[in-house]
Amino acid sequence: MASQYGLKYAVHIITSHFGNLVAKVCECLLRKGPLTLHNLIRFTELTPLQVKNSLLVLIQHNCVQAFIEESGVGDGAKLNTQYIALFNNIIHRSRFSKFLAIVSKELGEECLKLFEGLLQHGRLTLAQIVDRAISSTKGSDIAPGAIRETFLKLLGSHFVERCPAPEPVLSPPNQELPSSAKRGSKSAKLQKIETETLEQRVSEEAAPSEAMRFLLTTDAESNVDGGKDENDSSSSLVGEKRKYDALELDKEGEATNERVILWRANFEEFIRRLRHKACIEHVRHLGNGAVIVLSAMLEATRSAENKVKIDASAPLSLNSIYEEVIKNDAGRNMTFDRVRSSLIELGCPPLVKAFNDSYIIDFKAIIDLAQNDEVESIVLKRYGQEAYKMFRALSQAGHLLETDKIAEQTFYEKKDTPKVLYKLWKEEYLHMEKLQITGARQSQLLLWKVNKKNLWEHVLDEMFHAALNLSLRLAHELEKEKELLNPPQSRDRIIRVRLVLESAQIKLDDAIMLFHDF
Amino acid sequence: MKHYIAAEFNPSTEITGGAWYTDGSLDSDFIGVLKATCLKFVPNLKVATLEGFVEAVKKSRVSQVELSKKQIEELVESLVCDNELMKVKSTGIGEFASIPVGKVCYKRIDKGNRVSGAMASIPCGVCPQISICTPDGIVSPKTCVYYNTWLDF
Repeated sequence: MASQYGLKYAVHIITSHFGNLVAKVCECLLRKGPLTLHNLIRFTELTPLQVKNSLLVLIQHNCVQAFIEESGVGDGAKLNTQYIALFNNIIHRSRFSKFLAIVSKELGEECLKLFEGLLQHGRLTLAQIVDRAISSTKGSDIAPGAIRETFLKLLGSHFVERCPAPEPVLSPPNQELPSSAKRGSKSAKLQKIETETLEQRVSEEAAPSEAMRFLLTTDAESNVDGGKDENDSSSSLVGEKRKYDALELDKEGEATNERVILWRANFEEFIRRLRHKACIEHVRHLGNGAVIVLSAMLEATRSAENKVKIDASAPLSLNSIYEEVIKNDAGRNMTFDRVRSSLIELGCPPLVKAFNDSYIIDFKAIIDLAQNDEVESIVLKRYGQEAYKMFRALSQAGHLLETDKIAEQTFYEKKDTPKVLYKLWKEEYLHMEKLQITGARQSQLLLWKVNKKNLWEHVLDEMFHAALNLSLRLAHELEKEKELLNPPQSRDRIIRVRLVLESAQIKLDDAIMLFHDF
Repeated sequence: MKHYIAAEFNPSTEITGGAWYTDGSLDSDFIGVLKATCLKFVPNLKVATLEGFVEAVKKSRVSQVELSKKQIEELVESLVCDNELMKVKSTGIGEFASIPVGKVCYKRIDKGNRVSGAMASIPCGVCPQISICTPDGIVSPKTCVYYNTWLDF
């Protein structure tokens, strides 16, 4: 379940993009969880047509997923279509500009134009993508084949994927095995079911198999340019390093021939790229060499990542790392010894670990460090230097510490220490427990601790709150500007204000991803 | 609380607070000088062990009383809390070549190129009123005085 301000921010995004009506339906789903159409109409008090149209918009834009949940067994089993809001996809809408920048940098202008269409419209068939591309370049001839090739580049980079099934059937948890957990012990599978949210289960059940996800092949699709191309390489697997499930391919191949395939942006790949980018930024202080080497390692191991939030990369030998480094302009002149010494720098603190003549990127260590830095910078700015030191002492200890012990560690007056700690506790940055000492004299000790899990959730909620505030303030400033008569000073001011607010939004969104997506 | 003791006795450190206290109060100046001495011993991005710090403090003669290894360790650990030093374990290679593998040592932190906090660089990140701020409330982003100051620099 998303936090209080996470929900408010999500509703704000939907309101800005699609209006109040659609936002009302979305908000109802976000607050109440999955609902049937009947209940959605009842709770929103909108007309059935309004609710249906809103749902269509939300599904089209990948913000809601329909699913059928089995309830009961045997003859009494019921199949109800319910709708669930996809919180993560809604938040991704606020970072479309980042996704566009990635496509533009990696694949160029032509791919960017096609990809823009997918973001604008949510999901499109290949025919619609081609038509849109042709109609947007009036006066110049573009062959559908060329557009298809551009689309294949997007597919090859995994920036686009097949849309999920419209109404997957979700069995009750004790009967269901997650489609993606095809291996592993039964206890591991059951544990996966328990820790997954309903949103994750629905998304996994709806998702096409890995074999089909980036596959562009059906008779319907290949007729886009007017005929079959026997040399069409698109019928071969795109993304060859993905696991190939022959059984599923046979089953699904038949079904897809009868449907027109819809395509959408693959948010997972963009979040992966942004995660890698964040890791690089957080080692920049170690110098250029470390940045080049880490970038090369990320590039080399990216395709082996089967999910975004992996703890460690695939192992790479020193030779493989060196070969990858010298492929790029930045690393072309790096010597083997320099690569090795950069790996040593990355090893302390251990962000890259050496293991059996191989090197592994420790994503968890890099992300943990980045998260700690972010929270500590808030504590420093908001509560001052002494609170910052105490917070760090507690954070590093990882367990309860008594007030005097904290004072000794940070060289602060014992009589003044409780006041500082109390302020942090009041604002939910610290956890506090009281210990009664019974003996000759009764006394009470106060014990303090940084409860990371709770604090990280609290900080994330504050970040969503701040993101909402930035957005509201920007809208307010632009509204105010329209009402004025536009003197030159006012124009200069609004340009400056926009730059400040939009830059802050981009930077804050990086921090939100650090706590929510990475 | 004041304690009285015969002049021929020395009070125990439990009562006086030890080397860090003078007249019952924390001797911040003395602690500051010792910390600065420790930091000077570790040039940027190099590595030092606890024994190195002990030796450096002894040679500097900053302290009139002899400080134990435990006391120097307390100082060095407080520099870690200050984010001036980073506590690491020796890998035995590179800059750790002369230090046994696994031994705890300390590196100076280069704050110059660090990524600055995103939340801390906007008004909301440091706002004492964030818990009562709402979109259309008395405290709101549209009317926020901290935003006014931030945007009208």
